[in-house]
Amino acid sequence: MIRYTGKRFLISLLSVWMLITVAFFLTRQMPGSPFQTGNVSGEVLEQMEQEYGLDQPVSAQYVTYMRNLLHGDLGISYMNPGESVTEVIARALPATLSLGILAVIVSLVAGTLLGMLQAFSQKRWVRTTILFGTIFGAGIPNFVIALLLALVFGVQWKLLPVVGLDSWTSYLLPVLSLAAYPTAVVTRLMCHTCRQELQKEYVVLAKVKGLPMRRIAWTHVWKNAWIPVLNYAGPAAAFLLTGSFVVESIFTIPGLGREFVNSIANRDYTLIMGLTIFMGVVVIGVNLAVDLLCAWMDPRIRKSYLKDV
Amino acid sequence: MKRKDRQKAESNFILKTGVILLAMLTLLAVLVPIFSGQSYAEQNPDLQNLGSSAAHLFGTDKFGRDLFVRVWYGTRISLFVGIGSMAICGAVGIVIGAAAGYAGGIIDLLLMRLGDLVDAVPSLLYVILITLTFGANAGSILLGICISGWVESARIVRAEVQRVKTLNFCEAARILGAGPIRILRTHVLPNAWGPVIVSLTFFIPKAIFTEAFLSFVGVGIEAPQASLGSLIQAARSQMRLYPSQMLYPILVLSLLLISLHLIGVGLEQKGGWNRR
Repeated sequence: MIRYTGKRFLISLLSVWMLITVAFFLTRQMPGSPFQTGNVSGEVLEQMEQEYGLDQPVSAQYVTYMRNLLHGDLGISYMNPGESVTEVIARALPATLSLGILAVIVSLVAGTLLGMLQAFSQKRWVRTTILFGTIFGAGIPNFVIALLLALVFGVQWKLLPVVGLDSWTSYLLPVLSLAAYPTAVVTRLMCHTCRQELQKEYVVLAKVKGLPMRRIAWTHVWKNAWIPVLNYAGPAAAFLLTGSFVVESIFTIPGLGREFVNSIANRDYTLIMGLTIFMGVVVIGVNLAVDLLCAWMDPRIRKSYLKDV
Repeated sequence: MKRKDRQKAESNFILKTGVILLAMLTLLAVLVPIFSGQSYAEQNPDLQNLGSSAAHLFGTDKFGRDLFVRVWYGTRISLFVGIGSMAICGAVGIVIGAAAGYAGGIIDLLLMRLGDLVDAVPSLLYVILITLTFGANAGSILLGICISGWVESARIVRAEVQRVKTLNFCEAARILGAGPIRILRTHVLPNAWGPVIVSLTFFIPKAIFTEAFLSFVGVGIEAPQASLGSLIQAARSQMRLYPSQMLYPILVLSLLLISLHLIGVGLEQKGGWNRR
């Protein structure tokens, strides 16, 4: 386990370093300077560049940036000189986090139940309905779902609020639009692995013992079928973080996603870079945690990985 | 037996529906921009925000541009990005996966850990950085998608190569003097095709989604070119007054993605190939 943890940790660390390096050098290549607004004279421009350290060679800037990063300092926003990137993250994270966690819970519960229903149901129409549900849920993009929900429930019927996060009702539409795709994926995974598990010997034995199907499903099968679902947590975190870009912009929620979209519109390069690195680190962290959890639960996984290496 | 037959009929139906839908959309996307009299960028101040009519099937937008042409032009870009990135990532993935699986040892280790490295970061983040740096066009979107897009098919091919290469028929081929490329082509890849094709079929809607998402956020295809994502974004400000301007691109984009998912699910069920 220690060897496995060490190796996975090293890979994650390398991923983080690669992301930071790519983000840093690409950001330096981006066209236009953030200070070129036209009404700034050459002298002031030079002074500002000096203040932000932009007059130094790129390699020196890289070293400085990395050193500051190790202290948790992601730099200062170009557009809002009073605010550091860390402050922006601290301000915007709670909204995104609460939406994301709710969406994870919804998609895990709904996906597990629907997937097992699809795998075990004897009624054909139930299986077909869920199958087509997953195709629609996985196919229709999150921003389309968010826009349609806002249009129907917010604008046409005026049933639910579509701006901000003031009461619990305003969580409904954003969470629903974020959770649709992960729910479809979890359902598909769950149904698939349940069907595979059903062929295995322990299920046959349980059947021979005379256990009802319901009992077999809830005491034996689902625990085994859940490992692939757990593995999906990393991609789900990635999807929810990037999904927050559009969902938060559509429902005007003051979260990380909206900050990111605004920073792109403002060409606020330090903020873009800082948020990219932060989100990447979150996703890499979730991936690492899930991998370690799975390896801890199932020794076969770490064995096959170590044999691989 | 009966249940198996029904399952087969169902997957055939799903596959057929998907293929027909996709063929219709592709045909419209190719033909409409060619045969229509209007161009996607032509503005006409007399014809702003019109509803549907015989001359403008989907109506016009706030600059008086014909939405029918713009929507199908955008579909063409979606298809280009989807199929283009699938082809590139598929080819790169197969080559890398085959090389890693066949060579083994240090080459395998380096290639697959490189895959882990790029795959750990959400690909959208890389794509956004690249479109911001190299300009907002289909080329940078393709490049961004392909940075991590090859990993999944490489993993599938590698696993298949590792499984097959020690089997008797591969040993036999080697004893008969077949080189590695010939063994890969005639003995290994035919076994790996199924899962690879399913994975690549699901890759196309992912790429199309990425392009639409970026254009919706404002870092995708640049105006005046039309993309389904930017059409939806442009119509958003007027969605209360003219919801149809938003609904047409939404409908086409959703149908396109659903048709590809139908094909993927149909293939998956039919062949019994599962992803991962």
